[in-house]
Amino acid sequence: MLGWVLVFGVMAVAVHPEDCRAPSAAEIDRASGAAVGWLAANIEADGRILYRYDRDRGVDEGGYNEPRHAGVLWSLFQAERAGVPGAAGVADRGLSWALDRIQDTPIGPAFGEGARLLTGSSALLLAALDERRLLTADTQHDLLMIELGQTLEAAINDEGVLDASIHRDTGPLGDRSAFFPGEVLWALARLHITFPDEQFDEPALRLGRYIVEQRDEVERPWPPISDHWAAYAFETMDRWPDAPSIDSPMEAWIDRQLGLLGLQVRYESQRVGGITTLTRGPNALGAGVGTLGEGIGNWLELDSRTGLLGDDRDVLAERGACAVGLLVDRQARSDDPRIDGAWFRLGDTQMDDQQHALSALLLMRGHLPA
Amino acid sequence: MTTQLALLALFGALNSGRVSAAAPTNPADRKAALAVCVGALTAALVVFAWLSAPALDTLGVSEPDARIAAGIGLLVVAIHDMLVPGPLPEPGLAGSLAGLVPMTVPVGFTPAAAALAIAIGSESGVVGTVVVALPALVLIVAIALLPIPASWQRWIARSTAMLAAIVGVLVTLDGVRSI
Repeated sequence: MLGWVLVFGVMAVAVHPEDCRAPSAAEIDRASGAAVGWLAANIEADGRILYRYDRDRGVDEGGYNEPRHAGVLWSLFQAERAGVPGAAGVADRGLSWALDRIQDTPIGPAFGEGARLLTGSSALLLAALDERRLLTADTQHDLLMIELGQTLEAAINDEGVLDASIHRDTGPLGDRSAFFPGEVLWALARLHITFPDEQFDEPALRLGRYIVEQRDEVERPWPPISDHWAAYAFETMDRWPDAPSIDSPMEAWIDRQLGLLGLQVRYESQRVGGITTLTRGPNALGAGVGTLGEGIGNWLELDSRTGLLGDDRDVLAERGACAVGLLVDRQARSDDPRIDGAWFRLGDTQMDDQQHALSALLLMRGHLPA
Repeated sequence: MTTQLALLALFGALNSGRVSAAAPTNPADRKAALAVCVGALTAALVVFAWLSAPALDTLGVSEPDARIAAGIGLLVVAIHDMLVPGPLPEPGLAGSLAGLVPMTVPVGFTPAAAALAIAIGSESGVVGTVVVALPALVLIVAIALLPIPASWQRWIARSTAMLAAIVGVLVTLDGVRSI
Protein backbone atom coordinates (compact mmCIF):
# COMPACT_ATOMS: atom_id res chain seq x y z
CA MET A 1 0.00 0.00 0.00
CA LEU A 2 2.86 2.35 0.84
CA GLY A 3 4.32 1.65 -2.59
CA TRP A 4 1.05 2.63 -4.27
CA VAL A 5 0.88 5.85 -2.28
CA LEU A 6 4.48 6.72 -3.13
CA VAL A 7 4.17 6.00 -6.86
CA PHE A 8 0.85 7.83 -7.19
CA GLY A 9 2.36 10.68 -5.16
CA VAL A 10 5.17 11.02 -7.69
CA MET A 11 2.65 10.90 -10.55
CA ALA A 12 0.47 13.54 -8.86
CA VAL A 13 3.43 15.90 -8.66
CA ALA A 14 4.19 15.30 -12.34
CA VAL A 15 0.61 15.71 -13.56
CA HIS A 16 -2.04 18.02 -12.10
CA PRO A 17 -5.70 18.40 -13.03
CA GLU A 18 -6.21 20.77 -15.95
CA ASP A 19 -8.57 23.66 -15.29
CA CYS A 20 -10.01 24.00 -18.79
CA ARG A 21 -13.27 25.25 -20.14
CA ALA A 22 -14.45 26.49 -23.52
CA PRO A 23 -15.74 30.05 -23.22
CA SER A 24 -18.89 31.11 -25.03
CA ALA A 25 -18.79 33.37 -28.07
CA ALA A 26 -20.40 36.10 -25.97
CA GLU A 27 -17.63 35.85 -23.37
CA ILE A 28 -15.03 36.09 -26.11
CA ASP A 29 -16.74 39.15 -27.56
CA ARG A 30 -16.81 40.85 -24.16
CA ALA A 31 -13.15 40.06 -23.53
CA SER A 32 -12.13 41.27 -27.00
CA GLY A 33 -14.05 44.50 -26.51
CA ALA A 34 -12.43 45.06 -23.13
CA ALA A 35 -8.95 44.46 -24.56
CA VAL A 36 -9.57 47.01 -27.31
CA GLY A 37 -10.94 49.28 -24.58
CA TRP A 38 -7.63 49.04 -22.68
CA LEU A 39 -5.66 49.95 -25.81
CA ALA A 40 -8.04 52.84 -26.59
CA ALA A 41 -7.77 54.16 -23.04
CA ASN A 42 -4.00 53.93 -22.93
CA ILE A 43 -2.91 55.37 -26.26
CA GLU A 44 -1.24 58.74 -25.96
CA ALA A 45 -1.83 61.83 -28.08
CA ASP A 46 1.18 61.07 -30.31
CA GLY A 47 0.04 57.48 -30.99
CA ARG A 48 2.35 55.76 -28.52
CA ILE A 49 0.72 53.18 -26.27
CA LEU A 50 1.34 52.63 -22.56
CA TYR A 51 4.06 50.00 -22.71
CA ARG A 52 4.28 48.47 -19.25
CA TYR A 53 2.20 49.19 -16.17
CA ASP A 54 2.57 48.02 -12.57
CA ARG A 55 -0.87 47.95 -10.98
CA ASP A 56 0.40 47.28 -7.46
CA ARG A 57 2.47 50.46 -7.42
CA GLY A 58 0.29 52.35 -9.93
CA VAL A 59 3.41 53.13 -11.97
CA ASP A 60 4.05 53.47 -15.71
CA GLU A 61 7.27 51.49 -15.96
CA GLY A 62 8.32 53.01 -19.29
CA GLY A 63 10.25 51.33 -22.09
CA TYR A 64 9.12 50.72 -25.65
CA ASN A 65 9.35 48.15 -28.39
CA GLU A 66 8.59 48.83 -32.04
CA PRO A 67 7.73 45.27 -33.13
CA ARG A 68 5.17 45.16 -30.32
CA HIS A 69 3.77 48.55 -31.32
CA ALA A 70 3.31 47.27 -34.86
CA GLY A 71 1.85 44.02 -33.55
CA VAL A 72 -0.74 45.97 -31.57
CA LEU A 73 -1.74 47.83 -34.75
CA TRP A 74 -2.23 44.53 -36.57
CA SER A 75 -4.41 43.19 -33.76
CA LEU A 76 -6.53 46.33 -33.69
CA PHE A 77 -7.20 46.25 -37.45
CA GLN A 78 -7.93 42.52 -37.10
CA ALA A 79 -10.41 43.34 -34.32
CA GLU A 80 -12.20 45.95 -36.40
CA ARG A 81 -12.49 43.48 -39.29
CA ALA A 82 -13.87 40.94 -36.84
CA GLY A 83 -16.53 43.39 -35.74
CA VAL A 84 -15.09 45.06 -32.63
CA PRO A 85 -16.14 48.70 -33.08
CA GLY A 86 -13.66 51.54 -32.52
CA ALA A 87 -10.54 49.41 -32.90
CA ALA A 88 -9.47 50.86 -36.27
CA GLY A 89 -9.62 54.43 -34.98
CA VAL A 90 -7.15 53.53 -32.21
CA ALA A 91 -4.99 51.70 -34.72
CA ASP A 92 -4.89 54.67 -37.09
CA ARG A 93 -3.58 56.86 -34.25
CA GLY A 94 -0.86 54.32 -33.56
CA LEU A 95 -0.16 54.02 -37.27
CA SER A 96 0.69 57.70 -37.60
CA TRP A 97 3.32 57.24 -34.84
CA ALA A 98 4.82 54.37 -36.83
CA LEU A 99 4.71 56.16 -40.20
CA ASP A 100 6.61 59.08 -38.65
CA ARG A 101 9.40 56.62 -37.91
CA ILE A 102 10.02 55.18 -41.36
CA GLN A 103 13.73 55.65 -42.07
CA ASP A 104 15.86 55.12 -45.15
CA THR A 105 18.52 52.43 -45.02
CA PRO A 106 20.95 51.24 -47.71
CA ILE A 107 18.48 48.43 -48.62
CA GLY A 108 15.31 50.52 -48.52
CA PRO A 109 12.88 52.03 -46.01
CA ALA A 110 12.37 50.39 -42.62
CA PHE A 111 10.37 51.16 -39.49
CA GLY A 112 11.99 51.95 -36.17
CA GLU A 113 13.62 54.49 -33.89
CA GLY A 114 17.36 54.94 -33.54
CA ALA A 115 20.04 53.59 -35.85
CA ARG A 116 19.32 49.87 -35.48
CA LEU A 117 16.04 48.94 -37.14
CA LEU A 118 14.51 45.54 -36.43
CA THR A 119 13.19 43.59 -39.39
CA GLY A 120 10.37 42.32 -37.18
CA SER A 121 9.11 45.90 -36.74
CA SER A 122 8.77 46.44 -40.48
CA ALA A 123 7.22 43.00 -40.95
CA LEU A 124 4.47 43.54 -38.40
CA LEU A 125 3.85 47.07 -39.67
CA LEU A 126 3.39 45.54 -43.11
CA ALA A 127 0.90 43.05 -41.71
CA ALA A 128 -0.98 45.92 -40.05
CA LEU A 129 -1.00 48.00 -43.24
CA ASP A 130 -2.23 45.02 -45.22
CA GLU A 131 -5.00 44.32 -42.71
CA ARG A 132 -5.97 48.01 -42.86
CA ARG A 133 -6.05 47.81 -46.66
CA LEU A 134 -8.41 44.82 -46.46
CA LEU A 135 -10.60 46.71 -44.00
CA THR A 136 -10.75 50.09 -45.76
CA ALA A 137 -9.74 49.38 -49.38
CA ASP A 138 -7.50 52.42 -48.91
CA THR A 139 -4.49 52.12 -51.25
CA GLN A 140 -2.57 55.19 -50.11
CA HIS A 141 0.17 53.11 -48.45
CA ASP A 142 0.65 50.63 -51.31
CA LEU A 143 4.00 52.01 -52.43
CA LEU A 144 5.34 51.98 -48.88
CA MET A 145 4.13 48.41 -48.43
CA ILE A 146 5.94 47.24 -51.54
CA GLU A 147 9.12 49.08 -50.55
CA LEU A 148 9.05 47.67 -47.02
CA GLY A 149 8.62 44.22 -48.57
CA GLN A 150 11.62 44.78 -50.81
CA THR A 151 13.67 45.86 -47.79
CA LEU A 152 12.74 42.65 -45.99
CA GLU A 153 13.54 40.61 -49.09
CA ALA A 154 17.00 42.20 -49.19
CA ALA A 155 17.57 41.15 -45.57
CA ILE A 156 17.20 37.46 -46.51
CA ASN A 157 20.26 35.70 -47.90
CA ASP A 158 20.40 32.93 -50.51
CA GLU A 159 20.02 30.22 -47.84
CA GLY A 160 16.87 31.87 -46.51
CA VAL A 161 18.56 33.23 -43.38
CA LEU A 162 17.13 36.55 -42.20
CA ASP A 163 19.12 39.39 -40.64
CA ALA A 164 17.35 40.49 -37.48
CA SER A 165 18.29 44.12 -37.83
CA ILE A 166 19.38 46.74 -40.32
CA HIS A 167 21.70 49.62 -39.50
CA ARG A 168 20.38 52.90 -40.79
CA ASP A 169 23.74 53.74 -42.40
CA THR A 170 25.43 50.41 -43.12
CA GLY A 171 22.60 47.97 -43.89
CA PRO A 172 21.90 44.44 -42.57
CA LEU A 173 23.85 43.59 -39.41
CA GLY A 174 24.06 39.80 -39.74
CA ASP A 175 22.40 39.17 -36.38
CA ARG A 176 19.66 36.62 -35.70
CA SER A 177 16.29 36.44 -33.99
CA ALA A 178 14.18 33.42 -33.20
CA PHE A 179 10.83 35.05 -34.00
CA PHE A 180 11.55 37.62 -36.73
CA PRO A 181 11.79 34.97 -39.48
CA GLY A 182 8.18 33.99 -38.82
CA GLU A 183 7.07 37.62 -38.75
CA VAL A 184 8.88 38.44 -42.01
CA LEU A 185 7.58 35.28 -43.65
CA TRP A 186 4.06 36.28 -42.73
CA ALA A 187 4.52 39.80 -44.11
CA LEU A 188 5.91 38.49 -47.41
CA ALA A 189 3.17 35.86 -47.63
CA ARG A 190 0.53 38.56 -47.24
CA LEU A 191 2.24 40.77 -49.80
CA HIS A 192 2.18 37.97 -52.36
CA ILE A 193 -1.61 37.86 -52.04
CA THR A 194 -2.04 41.64 -52.17
CA PHE A 195 0.57 42.31 -54.85
CA PRO A 196 0.91 39.05 -56.78
CA ASP A 197 3.01 40.62 -59.54
CA GLU A 198 5.78 41.79 -57.19
CA GLN A 199 7.25 38.29 -56.76
CA PHE A 200 7.35 38.18 -52.98
CA ASP A 201 6.63 34.47 -53.15
CA GLU A 202 10.22 33.45 -53.97
CA PRO A 203 11.87 35.00 -50.87
CA ALA A 204 8.94 33.78 -48.78
CA LEU A 205 9.43 30.20 -49.94
CA ARG A 206 13.19 30.46 -49.27
CA LEU A 207 12.63 31.80 -45.76
CA GLY A 208 9.85 29.29 -45.08
CA ARG A 209 12.14 26.42 -46.06
CA TYR A 210 14.81 27.74 -43.69
CA ILE A 211 12.33 27.98 -40.81
CA VAL A 212 11.11 24.44 -41.33
CA GLU A 213 14.40 22.72 -42.00
CA GLN A 214 17.15 24.68 -40.25
CA ARG A 215 16.00 27.53 -38.01
CA ASP A 216 15.40 25.46 -34.88
CA GLU A 217 18.80 23.77 -35.12
CA VAL A 218 20.83 26.81 -36.14
CA GLU A 219 19.32 29.61 -34.08
CA ARG A 220 17.74 28.13 -30.97
CA PRO A 221 17.97 24.38 -30.52
CA TRP A 222 16.64 24.54 -26.95
CA PRO A 223 14.06 25.17 -25.72
CA PRO A 224 12.11 24.49 -28.91
CA ILE A 225 10.07 27.40 -30.23
CA SER A 226 6.32 27.29 -30.64
CA ASP A 227 6.21 29.84 -33.43
CA HIS A 228 2.80 31.49 -33.70
CA TRP A 229 4.11 33.92 -36.33
CA ALA A 230 5.12 31.06 -38.58
CA ALA A 231 1.65 29.59 -38.04
CA TYR A 232 0.18 32.88 -39.31
CA ALA A 233 2.58 32.73 -42.24
CA PHE A 234 1.86 29.18 -43.33
CA GLU A 235 -1.88 29.72 -42.96
CA THR A 236 -1.51 32.73 -45.26
CA MET A 237 0.69 30.88 -47.77
CA ASP A 238 -1.96 28.21 -47.99
CA ARG A 239 -4.29 30.90 -49.36
CA TRP A 240 -1.94 31.71 -52.24
CA PRO A 241 -3.43 30.77 -55.62
CA ASP A 242 -0.23 28.76 -56.14
CA ALA A 243 -0.05 27.48 -52.55
CA PRO A 244 3.01 25.31 -51.84
CA SER A 245 2.27 21.69 -50.99
CA ILE A 246 3.02 20.32 -47.55
CA ASP A 247 5.93 17.88 -47.87
CA SER A 248 7.20 15.47 -45.24
CA PRO A 249 9.75 17.83 -43.54
CA MET A 250 6.97 20.38 -43.27
CA GLU A 251 4.57 17.78 -41.91
CA ALA A 252 7.12 16.73 -39.28
CA TRP A 253 7.72 20.36 -38.34
CA ILE A 254 3.98 21.01 -38.00
CA ASP A 255 3.67 17.91 -35.80
CA ARG A 256 6.37 19.28 -33.49
CA GLN A 257 4.67 22.67 -33.42
CA LEU A 258 1.29 21.18 -32.53
CA GLY A 259 2.89 19.08 -29.79
CA LEU A 260 4.56 22.15 -28.30
CA LEU A 261 1.35 24.16 -28.40
CA GLY A 262 -0.64 21.34 -26.82
CA LEU A 263 1.93 20.74 -24.09
CA GLN A 264 2.10 24.41 -23.17
CA VAL A 265 -1.68 24.76 -22.96
CA ARG A 266 -1.93 21.63 -20.81
CA TYR A 267 0.84 22.90 -18.52
CA GLU A 268 -0.62 26.39 -18.25
CA SER A 269 -4.07 25.02 -17.43
CA GLN A 270 -2.57 23.22 -14.42
CA ARG A 271 -1.70 26.58 -12.85
CA VAL A 272 -4.70 27.17 -10.63
CA GLY A 273 -3.06 28.94 -7.71
CA GLY A 274 -2.59 27.45 -4.24
CA ILE A 275 -0.11 24.63 -4.12
CA THR A 276 0.29 24.67 -7.92
CA THR A 277 2.13 27.97 -7.51
CA LEU A 278 4.90 25.89 -5.94
CA THR A 279 4.81 23.05 -8.47
CA ARG A 280 3.99 25.01 -11.63
CA GLY A 281 5.00 28.59 -10.84
CA PRO A 282 2.88 31.68 -11.40
CA ASN A 283 0.58 32.14 -14.41
CA ALA A 284 2.25 32.81 -17.74
CA LEU A 285 2.11 36.23 -19.35
CA GLY A 286 -1.12 37.10 -21.12
CA ALA A 287 1.06 37.43 -24.22
CA GLY A 288 2.36 33.90 -23.70
CA VAL A 289 -1.07 32.33 -23.39
CA GLY A 290 -2.23 34.52 -26.28
CA THR A 291 0.47 33.24 -28.62
CA LEU A 292 -0.69 29.68 -27.89
CA GLY A 293 -4.22 30.61 -28.94
CA GLU A 294 -2.87 32.40 -32.01
CA GLY A 295 -0.78 29.45 -33.09
CA ILE A 296 -3.60 26.97 -32.56
CA GLY A 297 -6.16 29.27 -34.21
CA ASN A 298 -4.05 29.55 -37.34
CA TRP A 299 -3.43 25.81 -37.64
CA LEU A 300 -7.17 25.20 -37.19
CA GLU A 301 -7.92 27.79 -39.85
CA LEU A 302 -5.52 26.08 -42.24
CA ASP A 303 -7.03 22.72 -41.38
CA SER A 304 -10.54 23.92 -42.10
CA ARG A 305 -9.48 24.27 -45.76
CA THR A 306 -7.05 21.37 -46.08
CA GLY A 307 -8.08 18.73 -43.54
CA LEU A 308 -4.39 18.55 -42.67
CA LEU A 309 -4.92 17.73 -39.00
CA GLY A 310 -7.20 14.75 -39.48
CA ASP A 311 -8.13 13.20 -36.14
CA ASP A 312 -5.99 15.75 -34.29
CA ARG A 313 -8.35 18.61 -35.12
CA ASP A 314 -10.77 17.99 -32.25
CA VAL A 315 -8.11 17.77 -29.59
CA LEU A 316 -6.31 20.85 -30.96
CA ALA A 317 -9.59 22.78 -30.93
CA GLU A 318 -10.03 21.68 -27.32
CA ARG A 319 -6.57 23.04 -26.43
CA GLY A 320 -7.26 26.29 -28.25
CA ALA A 321 -10.57 26.71 -26.44
CA CYS A 322 -8.76 26.03 -23.19
CA ALA A 323 -6.20 28.76 -23.95
CA VAL A 324 -8.85 31.39 -24.66
CA GLY A 325 -10.87 30.14 -21.68
CA LEU A 326 -7.86 30.90 -19.50
CA LEU A 327 -7.60 34.35 -21.10
CA VAL A 328 -11.28 35.12 -20.48
CA ASP A 329 -11.00 34.01 -16.85
CA ARG A 330 -7.76 35.88 -16.20
CA GLN A 331 -8.66 39.23 -17.76
CA ALA A 332 -8.69 42.04 -15.19
CA ARG A 333 -11.87 44.05 -14.64
CA SER A 334 -11.70 47.38 -12.86
CA ASP A 335 -12.88 50.98 -12.86
CA ASP A 336 -9.26 51.97 -13.47
CA PRO A 337 -8.68 52.30 -17.25
CA ARG A 338 -5.06 51.23 -16.80
CA ILE A 339 -6.25 47.92 -15.41
CA ASP A 340 -9.61 47.16 -17.01
CA GLY A 341 -9.38 44.72 -19.91
CA ALA A 342 -5.68 43.92 -19.39
CA TRP A 343 -3.85 40.72 -18.46
CA PHE A 344 -1.45 40.95 -15.53
CA ARG A 345 1.34 38.69 -14.38
CA LEU A 346 2.87 39.36 -10.98
CA GLY A 347 1.24 42.82 -11.03
CA ASP A 348 2.58 43.89 -14.45
CA THR A 349 0.93 44.20 -17.83
CA GLN A 350 2.58 45.03 -21.12
CA MET A 351 0.85 46.20 -24.29
CA ASP A 352 1.64 42.95 -26.10
CA ASP A 353 -0.28 41.04 -23.41
CA GLN A 354 -3.39 42.74 -24.78
CA GLN A 355 -2.23 42.32 -28.39
CA HIS A 356 -1.64 38.56 -28.34
CA ALA A 357 -4.62 37.82 -26.12
CA LEU A 358 -6.91 39.88 -28.37
CA SER A 359 -5.70 38.15 -31.54
CA ALA A 360 -6.05 34.73 -29.91
CA LEU A 361 -9.63 35.47 -28.85
CA LEU A 362 -10.55 36.64 -32.33
CA LEU A 363 -8.87 33.71 -34.07
CA MET A 364 -10.34 31.03 -31.81
CA ARG A 365 -13.87 32.49 -31.86
CA GLY A 366 -14.62 30.61 -35.07
CA HIS A 367 -13.11 27.35 -33.90
CA LEU A 368 -14.74 26.70 -30.54
CA PRO A 369 -15.70 23.05 -30.00
CA ALA A 370 -19.38 22.40 -30.61
CA MET B 1 0.73 6.00 -27.87
CA THR B 2 1.45 3.48 -30.61
CA THR B 3 0.33 -0.12 -30.21
CA GLN B 4 3.96 -1.25 -30.05
CA LEU B 5 4.79 1.19 -27.26
CA ALA B 6 1.66 0.19 -25.33
CA LEU B 7 2.61 -3.46 -25.71
CA LEU B 8 6.15 -2.86 -24.48
CA ALA B 9 4.89 -0.74 -21.60
CA LEU B 10 2.52 -3.41 -20.29
CA PHE B 11 5.17 -6.06 -20.94
CA GLY B 12 7.48 -4.10 -18.65
CA ALA B 13 4.82 -3.33 -16.06
CA LEU B 14 3.57 -6.93 -15.80
CA ASN B 15 7.11 -8.14 -15.18
CA SER B 16 6.79 -11.83 -16.09
CA GLY B 17 10.06 -12.82 -14.43
CA ARG B 18 9.01 -11.34 -11.08
CA VAL B 19 5.45 -12.66 -11.23
CA SER B 20 6.48 -16.21 -12.09
CA ALA B 21 9.13 -16.15 -9.37
CA ALA B 22 6.38 -15.45 -6.85
CA ALA B 23 4.43 -18.59 -7.84
CA PRO B 24 4.24 -21.48 -5.35
CA THR B 25 6.91 -24.15 -5.80
CA ASN B 26 4.49 -27.06 -5.43
CA PRO B 27 3.61 -28.07 -9.05
CA ALA B 28 -0.13 -28.52 -8.45
CA ASP B 29 -0.49 -25.26 -6.56
CA ARG B 30 1.70 -23.55 -9.13
CA LYS B 31 -0.64 -24.29 -12.06
CA ALA B 32 -3.76 -23.31 -10.12
CA ALA B 33 -2.14 -20.14 -8.83
CA LEU B 34 -1.05 -19.23 -12.35
CA ALA B 35 -4.60 -19.53 -13.61
CA VAL B 36 -5.88 -17.36 -10.77
CA CYS B 37 -3.10 -14.82 -11.32
CA VAL B 38 -3.68 -14.46 -15.07
CA GLY B 39 -7.42 -14.17 -14.47
CA ALA B 40 -6.98 -11.59 -11.72
CA LEU B 41 -4.48 -9.53 -13.72
CA THR B 42 -6.81 -9.55 -16.72
CA ALA B 43 -9.77 -8.57 -14.55
CA ALA B 44 -7.82 -5.73 -12.95
CA LEU B 45 -6.71 -4.42 -16.36
CA VAL B 46 -10.30 -4.61 -17.63
CA VAL B 47 -11.67 -2.70 -14.64
CA PHE B 48 -9.06 0.08 -14.82
CA ALA B 49 -9.34 0.39 -18.61
CA TRP B 50 -13.13 0.45 -18.39
CA LEU B 51 -13.05 3.20 -15.77
CA SER B 52 -10.33 5.18 -17.55
CA ALA B 53 -12.44 7.75 -19.42
CA PRO B 54 -14.72 8.71 -16.49
CA ALA B 55 -11.72 8.65 -14.14
CA LEU B 56 -9.72 11.05 -16.31
CA ASP B 57 -12.77 13.28 -16.80
CA THR B 58 -13.36 13.42 -13.06
CA LEU B 59 -9.71 14.14 -12.33
CA GLY B 60 -9.48 16.74 -15.12
CA VAL B 61 -6.49 14.98 -16.67
CA SER B 62 -6.05 14.79 -20.45
CA GLU B 63 -4.96 11.62 -22.25
CA PRO B 64 -1.42 12.92 -22.96
CA ASP B 65 -0.97 13.84 -19.30
CA ALA B 66 -2.26 10.40 -18.29
CA ARG B 67 0.53 8.97 -20.46
CA ILE B 68 3.08 11.19 -18.74
CA ALA B 69 1.87 9.95 -15.35
CA ALA B 70 1.88 6.32 -16.48
CA GLY B 71 5.37 6.65 -17.96
CA ILE B 72 6.73 8.15 -14.76
CA GLY B 73 4.97 5.48 -12.70
CA LEU B 74 6.50 2.77 -14.87
CA LEU B 75 9.95 4.31 -14.49
CA VAL B 76 9.66 4.46 -10.70
CA VAL B 77 8.41 0.87 -10.42
CA ALA B 78 11.11 -0.32 -12.86
CA ILE B 79 13.86 1.28 -10.82
CA HIS B 80 12.43 -0.39 -7.71
CA ASP B 81 12.36 -3.75 -9.52
CA MET B 82 15.96 -3.37 -10.65
CA LEU B 83 17.18 -2.61 -7.14
CA VAL B 84 14.96 -4.83 -4.99
CA PRO B 85 15.08 -8.61 -5.52
CA GLY B 86 11.82 -10.30 -6.44
CA PRO B 87 9.68 -11.64 -3.60
CA LEU B 88 9.89 -15.31 -2.65
CA PRO B 89 6.71 -17.39 -2.84
CA GLU B 90 6.31 -16.93 0.93
CA PRO B 91 4.73 -15.03 2.62
CA GLY B 92 1.52 -15.26 0.67
CA LEU B 93 -1.80 -17.02 0.57
CA ALA B 94 -1.75 -20.76 0.31
CA GLY B 95 -2.56 -22.89 -2.72
CA SER B 96 -4.25 -21.35 -5.71
CA LEU B 97 -4.89 -18.13 -3.77
CA ALA B 98 -1.18 -17.42 -4.09
CA GLY B 99 -2.25 -16.32 -7.55
CA LEU B 100 -3.84 -13.32 -5.83
CA VAL B 101 -1.27 -12.67 -3.08
CA PRO B 102 1.58 -12.26 -3.79
CA MET B 103 1.45 -12.96 -7.56
CA THR B 104 -1.17 -10.37 -8.57
CA VAL B 105 -0.76 -8.06 -5.60
CA PRO B 106 1.78 -6.73 -4.88
CA VAL B 107 4.01 -8.22 -7.58
CA GLY B 108 2.05 -8.21 -10.85
CA PHE B 109 -0.51 -5.43 -10.64
CA THR B 110 1.66 -2.51 -9.61
CA PRO B 111 0.69 1.17 -9.64
CA ALA B 112 2.45 1.36 -13.01
CA ALA B 113 0.17 -1.35 -14.44
CA ALA B 114 -2.87 0.49 -13.07
CA ALA B 115 -1.79 3.82 -14.54
CA LEU B 116 -0.96 2.21 -17.87
CA ALA B 117 -4.34 0.48 -17.97
CA ILE B 118 -5.96 3.89 -17.53
CA ALA B 119 -3.72 5.59 -20.13
CA ILE B 120 -4.07 2.81 -22.71
CA GLY B 121 -7.73 2.16 -21.92
CA SER B 122 -8.67 5.82 -22.49
CA GLU B 123 -7.21 5.64 -25.99
CA SER B 124 -7.70 2.04 -27.10
CA GLY B 125 -10.58 0.83 -24.96
CA VAL B 126 -10.88 -2.31 -22.83
CA VAL B 127 -10.29 -4.80 -25.66
CA GLY B 128 -7.25 -2.90 -26.91
CA THR B 129 -5.75 -2.89 -23.42
CA VAL B 130 -6.23 -6.63 -22.95
CA VAL B 131 -4.82 -7.38 -26.40
CA VAL B 132 -1.56 -5.48 -25.77
CA ALA B 133 -1.28 -7.19 -22.36
CA LEU B 134 -1.52 -10.68 -23.86
CA PRO B 135 2.19 -11.24 -24.61
CA ALA B 136 3.10 -10.42 -21.00
CA LEU B 137 0.36 -12.73 -19.65
CA VAL B 138 1.45 -15.58 -21.93
CA LEU B 139 5.07 -15.13 -20.89
CA ILE B 140 4.12 -15.29 -17.20
CA VAL B 141 2.56 -18.71 -17.80
CA ALA B 142 5.43 -19.89 -19.99
CA ILE B 143 8.18 -18.93 -17.57
CA ALA B 144 6.33 -20.44 -14.61
CA LEU B 145 5.65 -23.75 -16.35
CA LEU B 146 8.96 -24.25 -18.11
CA PRO B 147 11.86 -25.69 -16.09
CA ILE B 148 13.71 -22.41 -15.87
CA PRO B 149 16.28 -22.13 -13.05
CA ALA B 150 15.57 -19.50 -10.39
CA SER B 151 18.73 -17.60 -11.34
CA TRP B 152 17.43 -17.26 -14.91
CA GLN B 153 14.09 -16.04 -13.61
CA ARG B 154 15.87 -13.34 -11.62
CA TRP B 155 17.83 -12.38 -14.72
CA ILE B 156 14.63 -12.18 -16.78
CA ALA B 157 13.01 -10.08 -14.03
CA ARG B 158 15.90 -7.60 -13.93
CA SER B 159 16.17 -7.41 -17.73
CA THR B 160 12.46 -6.75 -17.97
CA ALA B 161 12.79 -4.04 -15.33
CA MET B 162 15.60 -2.40 -17.33
CA LEU B 163 13.43 -2.50 -20.45
CA ALA B 164 10.53 -1.08 -18.43
CA ALA B 165 12.66 1.86 -17.29
CA ILE B 166 13.51 2.73 -20.89
CA VAL B 167 9.92 2.29 -22.01
CA GLY B 168 8.76 4.44 -19.08
CA VAL B 169 10.89 7.29 -20.41
CA LEU B 170 9.52 6.74 -23.93
CA VAL B 171 5.91 6.72 -22.71
CA THR B 172 6.56 9.94 -20.78
CA LEU B 173 8.10 11.60 -23.84
CA ASP B 174 5.17 10.41 -25.94
CA GLY B 175 2.83 12.22 -23.57
CA VAL B 176 5.01 15.33 -23.54
CA ARG B 177 5.09 15.52 -27.34
CA SER B 178 1.38 14.96 -27.83
CA ILE B 179 -1.17 17.69 -28.45
